[in-house]
Formats: sequence, C-alpha cells, structure tokens
Amino acid sequence: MKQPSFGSGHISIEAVKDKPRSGASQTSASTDDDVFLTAEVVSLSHTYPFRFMIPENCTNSPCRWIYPVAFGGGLVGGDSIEASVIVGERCACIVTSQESTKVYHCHHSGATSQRLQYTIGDQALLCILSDPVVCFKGANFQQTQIIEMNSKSNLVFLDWMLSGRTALQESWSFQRYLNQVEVKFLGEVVLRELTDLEDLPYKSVANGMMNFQVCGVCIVLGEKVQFLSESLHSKYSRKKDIGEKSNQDVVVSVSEVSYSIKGQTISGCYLRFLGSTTVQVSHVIRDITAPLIPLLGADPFENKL
Amino acid sequence: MDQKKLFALLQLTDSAFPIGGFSHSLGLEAYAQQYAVSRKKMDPEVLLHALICIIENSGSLSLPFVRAAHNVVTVRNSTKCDQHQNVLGELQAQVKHESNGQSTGSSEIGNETKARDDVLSVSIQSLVQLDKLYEACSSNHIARRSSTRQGRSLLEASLHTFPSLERQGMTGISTELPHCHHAVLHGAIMGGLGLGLEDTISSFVFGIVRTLVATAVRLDVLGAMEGQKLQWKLQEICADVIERNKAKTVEQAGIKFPVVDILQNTHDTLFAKLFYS
Repeated sequence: MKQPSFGSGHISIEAVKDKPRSGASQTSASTDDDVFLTAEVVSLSHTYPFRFMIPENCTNSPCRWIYPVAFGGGLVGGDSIEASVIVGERCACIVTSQESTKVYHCHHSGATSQRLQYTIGDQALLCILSDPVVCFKGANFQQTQIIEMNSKSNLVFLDWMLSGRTALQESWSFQRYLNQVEVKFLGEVVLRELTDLEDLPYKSVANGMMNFQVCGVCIVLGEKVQFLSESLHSKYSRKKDIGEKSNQDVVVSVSEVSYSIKGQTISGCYLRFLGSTTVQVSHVIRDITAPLIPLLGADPFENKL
Repeated sequence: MDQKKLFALLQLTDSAFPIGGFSHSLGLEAYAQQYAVSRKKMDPEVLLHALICIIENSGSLSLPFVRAAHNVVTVRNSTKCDQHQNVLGELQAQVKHESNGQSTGSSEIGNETKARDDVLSVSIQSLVQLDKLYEACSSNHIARRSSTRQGRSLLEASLHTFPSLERQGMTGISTELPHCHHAVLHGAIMGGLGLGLEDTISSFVFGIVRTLVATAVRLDVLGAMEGQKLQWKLQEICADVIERNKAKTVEQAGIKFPVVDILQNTHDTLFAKLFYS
C-alpha cells in the first residue's frame, strides 16, 4: 500500500522578451497588446511524489501547457499536496491533466489535502481545464484553490467532479469533499465558493445530489476572455419557451459577475452545471473549451468527451 | 426574556414586518418547476427533500454571518468607559481577521468621546467586511438579489420602527454597507435591540422556514393547514441545523447541497414565475 506523503511544486513562467531582433515585424508584433508572447519557465521546483510536466513545443501556439502530476495514480489518505503557478505578464498558460484526479479512501489515515495557488500577471491568461476529480468510496478530500489576479488578468477556471467509480456502483459514497475556491482581485477576496459535501443527520450526499453524477463550476474573468463569458451567458441564460419541459439530465446555471476594487473593474461569468452522466455535460465542457482552442493551440479534452 | 424584547422579536419575525420576504421563494419555485411538484400528484417526500436541503444550505452559509454580525454589535453596545480600550482592541482584531490582515483604523485613543467614536467606526467597518465577504460568497445572482433586497428593507424598516437603533448610531450602516446582505443585517439589528444570540439565530432560521412554507402554499404544492403542520415538524431539523452551524466562523461558511442552489440559480430562465427569486 502506498504510504501517505507530502508533495509540493512551484512553477513560474515569463515572457521571452530579449529575442534576437531579426526584423521590424518582430518588434511590432511584441508591442501588439492582443498577442500573447512566447513564454519560458523561469523557476521550477517540485518534491516527490508531485511534479510538473511541461512539454516543449506541444502546439504551435505561444500558450504553455502545464501538467501537474502526482506519481502513484492518485491521492491516498494523508497525502498532502501544495503547488503554486505564477503566470507572468503577457503569457498564456493552460494547467490540465492526462486523466482524472483520483482520491482513494481514508479509512486508516487522515484526510487528503491539496492546496493550489495561482497568480496571473498583467495581460496574461491562465486556463485551468483539468479532468474531473473522482472521490472513491470513503475518501476525505479537502482542497483549497486560490487565484490572484489584477484588472488586466484573464482566467478560465473549470473545476468538476464525478460521483465515484460508476463501474463499481459508487455514487457519492465518499466521507467528505470540501472544496474552497477563492478569487482575489487586487488582493481582496471577490469570489469565494466553499462546497462541503458530507452526510448529514437528515440527508445524505447521495440523496441530496438526486439523479446527478457530475457537478461542476466554471469561472471566466477578464477582458481577453470576454467573448467566452458572453457566449456562455447568452447560451445558458436563455429563457425557456412556453411549455418547454425542463431537462432532468442536465442543468446549467449562469450568473454575470463584475467586481470593482479601487476604481478598477473585472467582469465575466460564473457557470455551474449538473449532469446525470459525463456524456450529458460534454456539450457544456465543449462550449467552454472550443472557443479557446485557437488560443490554446489544441483541445485539452480531445478524445476524452 | 423581558416583555419589551419579546415584543421586538415578535414584531421583527412577523410576516407583516415589511422586508419583502413574500416575493422570494429561496429556490423552491425553480425546484418545483424542475420536478413538477404539484398538490394533485403530491409526493410529500419530493417537497420535503427541497425544504431540508434549502434549510441546510441557509444554515451553513448564513448562520456564521448572523452570529458574527450579532457579535460585533453586542460587543460594541456592551462597551463601558473603562473597557473602551479592550473592546476597541477586540474589534480591531476581528476586523483584521475578517479583512485577511489588511490594517485598518486608528489606534490612538485621546478621550472618551473619541474612543466611543472609534468603537462605533471600527464596528461599522467590521460589518462592512462581513457584508463584502457575504457578497463574495454569493456568486449565485438570484440568491444575492434575494439577500440584498431583504437586507436593505429590513434595515430601513427597522430604523424607521425602533428609535433605539438610531440612538446607537446604526443609521451609519445604511450609507456604509455596500450590499446590505440579509444575514449580516439580521444579526446586527437583533443585536442592536438587545436580543441574545440564541434568539437571533433561531429567528433567522424561523424566517427561512416561514418563507419556504408560505412559498409552498402559494405555489399550491401544499395546503395551508398542512403547511403549518409541516412547519412545526421542521423545527426539529432546524434545531439540529442550528446546533451544527452556530459555532462556525465566516471562513467556514459554505454550501452543503449544490443541487437546490444551482436550480435556484436558473430561476431567471423560467418561462412563467410567481416569485422574484
């Protein structure tokens, strides 16, 4: 059996600024505010069993692809992970995964905890588009995710979970899932979401989730991803037609959000979804990722949905 | 409880007190439409399910704020001359805690009047921090709308009704608080009227249950007599919800049952609706 362990990681990327000046076109491109610059890793450290995989040249886009990986195929009881990602000015970066994050039972040990911290610089874009978290029967998963941004930062944050190993008829049978997401804008907490799923005396988690096996949230903030906020908002805030039956297999809600601190404003949308199967929500995931593919260079969920 | 406080409590929890609770369903309308809950083919379990989930969510998200706001006002009002310094320190520590270490306010105390003013302004700052944090916790715009509307109405109606609140300098709240969330205002006003923490918390949960039952009756998923019977039956669950949530800090406030909350978030997409939220 795998022993609980403490893993940590830190990565920082920055735009490559001192490129050889081969011609005038190069200079004009780098002053263009709409373009993300090629980024390089300026600082990287990790301790076993955690590490960052950062493939080079995986796409033609300047966007860097970062894969946080925990060796051993998942997180066991007592595991503790701490990781931070810093995205420098004018960089684009996607944090994604090759497979779902699996959290094993905690029958003989403490909770599994994970603390992830992201900092997004000026004119930079961070997309967190990972596979869902799957808490197995008896898991106790406590996660904190903190995102710091300023008025020129851009964020696409997707965080979703499945009810368990469906092949084993597991459905919301973990001990506890505590997930805290915090967005700080110019140092002030503007969005906090704390979801604490555990069986209560009058209602179990499985009962409370009704027929749904997938649950997720997506936060889109910033000027450069405004097109995404707008498309998601217009699609999912549409009023039902007369007599239109409500869909029992997928529910999507969306709210417009806008925060003003010290005279600076950032806006976007806050979307949540529920689905009875992964297939049922695949169009929601596609609506989030498809418009980003030109920026990212490839589809993080290719052949997965 | 003395008679004056009892009267204040009854008046504040009376459905005639104009905070506009009747226009909010707390997500029950969206849920009832999603699952086509109706009296004819009534499945009482389906309705009870939503009520329990909504009460649990309100308890786990709002009660920590009710308690914190009540505490701010109670500590401030219990200030006596010789205690100014301690209370000020305590309040500042609290503000510091809520604002994640951002430093606030002055620390020099010249005389008693200034001390009282400082206590007043620091306590208002604490309420402002609580209000901002509650705003951060309510990205669901339907829930946010329901909370801020009721909070502002509660504040205006209370200031108009109870002269003692004005004497305490509570009028400042209406200009200082950026959002006026219901849970924060409920705690602050009950505290300002001298009501204890237990009564403040219980009356908040009572308000939730009363609104839910009244909503169910108006949506015609429950008869008026059945509604009262159910409301009484729910008080057992409420006692348990209060017990589990009353000691939580605002940092631990969150949602227990996402499904009812997400359904509430879709309220604006309903074709026909009776309620504003």
